[in-house]
Amino acid sequence: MMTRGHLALALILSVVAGGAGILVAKHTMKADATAVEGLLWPNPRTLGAFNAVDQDGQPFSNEDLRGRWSLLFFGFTHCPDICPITMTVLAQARAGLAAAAGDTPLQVIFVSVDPVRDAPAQLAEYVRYFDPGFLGLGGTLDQVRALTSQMGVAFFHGPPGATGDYTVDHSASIFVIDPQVRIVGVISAPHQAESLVTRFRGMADFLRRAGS
Amino acid sequence: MKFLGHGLAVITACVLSGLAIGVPVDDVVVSQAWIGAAPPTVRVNAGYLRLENKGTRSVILSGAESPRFARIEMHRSEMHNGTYSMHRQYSLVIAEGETLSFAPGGLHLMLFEPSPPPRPKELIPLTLILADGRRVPVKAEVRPPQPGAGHHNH
Repeated sequence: MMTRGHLALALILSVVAGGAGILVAKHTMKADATAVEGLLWPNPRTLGAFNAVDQDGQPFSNEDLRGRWSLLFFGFTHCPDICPITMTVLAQARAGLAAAAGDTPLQVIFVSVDPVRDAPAQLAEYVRYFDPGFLGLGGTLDQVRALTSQMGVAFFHGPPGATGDYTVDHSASIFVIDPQVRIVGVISAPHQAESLVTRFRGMADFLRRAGS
Repeated sequence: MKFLGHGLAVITACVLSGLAIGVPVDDVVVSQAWIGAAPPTVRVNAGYLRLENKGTRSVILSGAESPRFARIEMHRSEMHNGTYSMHRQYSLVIAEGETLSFAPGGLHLMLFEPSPPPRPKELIPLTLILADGRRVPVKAEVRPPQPGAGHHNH
C-alpha cells in the first residue's frame, strides 16, 4: 500500500527519471551526429540556384533535387581509374541505397567536370552503362561551376599533352543532398559498396530521427 | 590457380620474348592482368596487373604497348585533401624480390583510344617493355572494375 511519502518519492523519481531520459536522448542525438561519419550537421547548407543540362539535353536545376535523396559524384568520362570504379560501386550500392532511403526516391548523379568533352550523348551512354537509372549532368563550364562552387568541390584542368588529351584533377567524394536540397553529407574515397550504404543509411536514419 | 597463372605467364614470357629478341625473361613474372570494362564510348581504359621481380637485379619498367590501343602510358592516381590527380610515370623501378602492383586508385596503365573497344571477358594482349629492351607479353582479361582489386594479395 502506497503512503503519501511513497507517492511523493515516486513522483520525484519519475520526474528525475524523465529529466534524465530527456538528457540521455539529447546526448544520444548529439553523439549520433558525430558518430555518423561525413554527416554535415547541424546547420547543413541549402543548395542555391544552378542550371545544368542533363544527359538527355534537358535543363536540370536545384529544384530537380527537391523531394528526393541525391548522391552526387564529380568526374569525367575520360577518367580511366577512379571514375569507373566509383560508378561501379554506386551501381553495386544502388539497391541498398534505395532501401535506406525508404519511401523517398533516390537518384544517383554523375556531374561532369569536363562538360566540353562530355556532351549529353556521351554522358548518357556513360552513366547508363553503369546503371540505366543514373543521371549525368553537364552544360557549360560556368553552369557546372555554379554547382561545384556551392559544394566546395574543386577541380582543375591539366595542360593538354602532345595529343591534345588532358586530365582533370577532381574531388573523389560522394556528396549527399537531402530531400530539402541541403548538403547533408560527404562520403570520402576510397569507396566500397557496403560502407557506402552503411554511411548513407546512417545519415538518412539520423535525419529521420531528428525529424527534419 | 595463381601458380598456374604465374607459370603460364612465365612460359609465355619466355617463349614470346625469346622469339622477339632471343633473350628469355624468366625473372619478371606478370600476373592478375586485367582491364576495367567501360562504356564503349570512352577513349581511355585502365589496365592493372602485378609485376614480380624474381631476379637478382632490379628491373625498370619503361612502358607498354598493345595492338588494341593507340598508346599506353603509366599513371599514378594520388589523393591530396580529397582531390584525386593523376601523375604520369615514365619509368618504375622494381627492386629484386619486390612486386609492383597496378591497382585501382593507384598505379594504372592508361590505355588510349581502344580499337575496337574492349568487351567484357575478352583477353587483350599487352606487352610490357623493360628499360633494357626486353619485352614481357601478357593477356589481360576485361572485367568490371572492382575497388581495391589487386590489394588483397599483398
